[in-house]
Amino acid sequence: MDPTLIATIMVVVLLLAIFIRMPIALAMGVVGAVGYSFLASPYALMAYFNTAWVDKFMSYELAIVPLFILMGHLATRTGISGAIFQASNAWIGHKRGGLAMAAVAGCAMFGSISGSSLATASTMAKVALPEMRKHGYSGALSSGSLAAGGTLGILIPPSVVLIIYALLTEQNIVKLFLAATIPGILAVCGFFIAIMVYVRLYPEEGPTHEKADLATRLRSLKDIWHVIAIFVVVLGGIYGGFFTPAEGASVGVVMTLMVGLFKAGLKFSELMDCLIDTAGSTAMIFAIVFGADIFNVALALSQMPAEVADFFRNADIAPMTVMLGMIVFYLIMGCVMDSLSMILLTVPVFFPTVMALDFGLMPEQQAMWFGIITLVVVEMGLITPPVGMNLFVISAMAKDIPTSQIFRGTTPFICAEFCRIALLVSFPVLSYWLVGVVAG
Amino acid sequence: AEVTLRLHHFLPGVAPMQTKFFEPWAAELKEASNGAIDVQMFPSMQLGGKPPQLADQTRQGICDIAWTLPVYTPDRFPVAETMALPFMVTNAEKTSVAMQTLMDEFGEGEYSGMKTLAFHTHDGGKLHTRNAPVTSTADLKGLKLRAPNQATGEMLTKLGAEVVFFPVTEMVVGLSNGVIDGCCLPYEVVPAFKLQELTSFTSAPAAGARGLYCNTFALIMNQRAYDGMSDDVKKVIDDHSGMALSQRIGKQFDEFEAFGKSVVEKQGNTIAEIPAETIAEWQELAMPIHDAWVQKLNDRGLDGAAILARANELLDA
Amino acid sequence: MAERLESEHNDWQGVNGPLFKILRPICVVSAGFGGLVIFGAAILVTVSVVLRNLGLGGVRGDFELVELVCAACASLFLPLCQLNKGHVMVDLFTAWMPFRAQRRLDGIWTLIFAVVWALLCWRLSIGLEEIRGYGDKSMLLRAPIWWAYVPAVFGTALSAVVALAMSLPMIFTSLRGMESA
Ligand code: NA
Ligand code: NA
Repeated sequence: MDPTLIATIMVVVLLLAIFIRMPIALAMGVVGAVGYSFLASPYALMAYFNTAWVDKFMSYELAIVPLFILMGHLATRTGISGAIFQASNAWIGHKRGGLAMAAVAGCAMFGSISGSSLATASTMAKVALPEMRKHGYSGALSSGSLAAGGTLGILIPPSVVLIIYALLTEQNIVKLFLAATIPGILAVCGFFIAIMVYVRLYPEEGPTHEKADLATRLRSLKDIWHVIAIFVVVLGGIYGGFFTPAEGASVGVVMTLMVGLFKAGLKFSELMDCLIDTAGSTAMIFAIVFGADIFNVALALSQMPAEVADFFRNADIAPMTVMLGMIVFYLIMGCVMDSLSMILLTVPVFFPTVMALDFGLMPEQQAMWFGIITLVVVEMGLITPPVGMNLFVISAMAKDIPTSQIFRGTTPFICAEFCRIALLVSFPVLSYWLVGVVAG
Repeated sequence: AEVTLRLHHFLPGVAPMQTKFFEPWAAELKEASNGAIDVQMFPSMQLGGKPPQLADQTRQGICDIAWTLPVYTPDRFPVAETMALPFMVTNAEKTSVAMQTLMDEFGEGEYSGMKTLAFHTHDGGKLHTRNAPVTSTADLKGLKLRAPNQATGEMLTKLGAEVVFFPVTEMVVGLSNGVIDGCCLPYEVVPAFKLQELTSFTSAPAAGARGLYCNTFALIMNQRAYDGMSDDVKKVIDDHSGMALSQRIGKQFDEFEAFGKSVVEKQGNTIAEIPAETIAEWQELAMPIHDAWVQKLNDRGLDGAAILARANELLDA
Repeated sequence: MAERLESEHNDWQGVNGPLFKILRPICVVSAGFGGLVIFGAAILVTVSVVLRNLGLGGVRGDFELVELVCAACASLFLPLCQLNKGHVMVDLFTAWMPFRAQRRLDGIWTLIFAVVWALLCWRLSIGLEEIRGYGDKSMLLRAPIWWAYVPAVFGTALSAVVALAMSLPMIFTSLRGMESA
């Protein structure tokens, strides 16, 4: 049988399997393995399985995943989120819609030490949601701002999604983290604007309240110095030349633990809970990584990714059209699929295709630009209905808010995200400028 | 095509090794066999696994041909590793020929279950550093250097450097932010890692002196894939492998080396010379490493002293 | 992003079933042990970084240790994820199906999981023997590589048992007794 045909069948079967509830890791692994047997031989597949699991995970680069996840879980348990939100609240909470902005700002701060969106959304929701409801904020605005704010967990470095992208495309993680900084700040600005417009239209949904005095404001800063310290040491250390990303994650784990021990009286049992939580999240990610690995090896055997890239290189289609096509594809898939699975599934085909196109950029710049755009569009999937992980988190935590209200609340943020995607696509320089400045 | 051979290696598809060697070689195989041999390229470990598994993958038929480094699996291919000791390499072509000879004479059983197509090395490693050139033992003291392999690491440690064994990706990060001061690699890989931008000084041994180190490479083929070919096709493979191929790849690596050097020069980096006396001094200090290697070969039932002597004889010839 | 809500759709009342009374603690201990190992690695790496930046030289072989630890964790974490139904899936397009049918479908996927983990376990045990036979060691620590295969064989085996035990009552209504005490 023609290898390209086998590859096509694989992709179709995979999508069908995913649509009928087959766990994504399993679907990719099984379809990949069957395809591999056809394209190479069952004998080769068996030989491959002798070492593939250990080979894949005996990896310094992948170790950064459980480390950053552990750091995030520790941060969640240490009560850092409360201090962060109180500080943001003291400075901007009194404005109209200010608590929602404080929630977004809090998410941004928490996101700067956590690599995951779900952790960010759930942690910040725990402290910000009751406060917003108490001050008369509508269910829509409070849930929407937290669901959207949660995405800052992966938009602002460190970011597990970016780590996986870097691994798949052999890009420098440090540079990608740097590249994500300006788009991350743009996201925060976009969310602020979305809130301002929203409360303009529906003033009763985000009422004003009393302004905190200067003493309270200053005191609130004192309570978050350790968050700033972790952020500065971990990311500053990585950019500033003191350690590598995985070392930075390790340092972050230890520092967060210190904060937990000395500021929040973290107990041993709570530490064990963190470790167990880390186990769950890591195993889920690693299972998908392993399944995707087999699937991608089988795709490579069929030489389909290379042929797709060749097709677009030779076809008379404007590069920007291809790029927009991919973005639309991601946005549609993002409505129903998990972000990590999407990246693992598509990047092996999309990345060579994009790199084969001429956007007038240096290859490294192009790789970073595409990485950031992928990150942003995939991240949008977290807040687009019907399947949006962040929506589920908020919904699970705010049982009194109907789902329809949550969807309504995220709409302005989705609009803000569309504007940001347009900006990032039109001005690639936003994605690589800072890297050029810092890394030379 | 009558036979499709999957060639698996760890470098990206744009690397000179693929564009300047594998692709032309595959084209020659195709032409010489009247289209019977079709070599499919799988760069960047696209068929899965990590570089140390390439030899096993070839033996097991996961791929048909692989380009691999014996040092990735320490002690498994000891004769093939010998040229990777410190202070062996002269230039890539000569060292490659010497390695192929050595393997013909002593390395018979090492690659059982695989057909060996060629053995070669790259040119000697240079010291690429950020802040200062290295021309004496004193310059090495306390310098944080990334070592390319175990033996070179031992050698640099003996010379007083602080050795780290970062993977290359970490090395690039480490060099750009100053976690490490430098690395020991040939010019040939400079463009791939943009070492010319990450470092400002390159220190190379004086002409005629032995190089600091080199890595050895093996181009191997699955034995069953070879045995299953018709005699005509086998002959094409035979004609395009062995000593001539080893020499050709070695020569090509000397060209890659020259190109890498031109990139460093174009950048305006300082290129310093490590005097022959300094190299001689270092060689003396590295003797225990050679002695330990002889012992290791002896332990494996080989004549370690004879192998090392023969290697030196071939290199000095 | 990619974590799953563990409480979501937890239609499974079997946490108190006789079989799971044994399996759950084993999975939790396995995951907890893996967590402690990676936590220990984080502390060691931090010490190494601090020493290196003080000019005292880092801990030799910390990279390798982290690699070995990562491989061990991947394997030790797996059974708990299987037990908690932690694997991501898309349930949107099957939401219209009756609950029983969904459950049975999930049971089939879980059974396939069991087969896959069992297959991997079998191949990894062969891989273990192979690598041990070669005597492959890590470059600096000289740690035998086959060590990393031991947790892998254990983790995949336990995951296979967990998946099998979970799938049967999901598929066959007559076996629901396995779940409820
Ligand atoms: Na983050
Ligand atoms: Na979505």
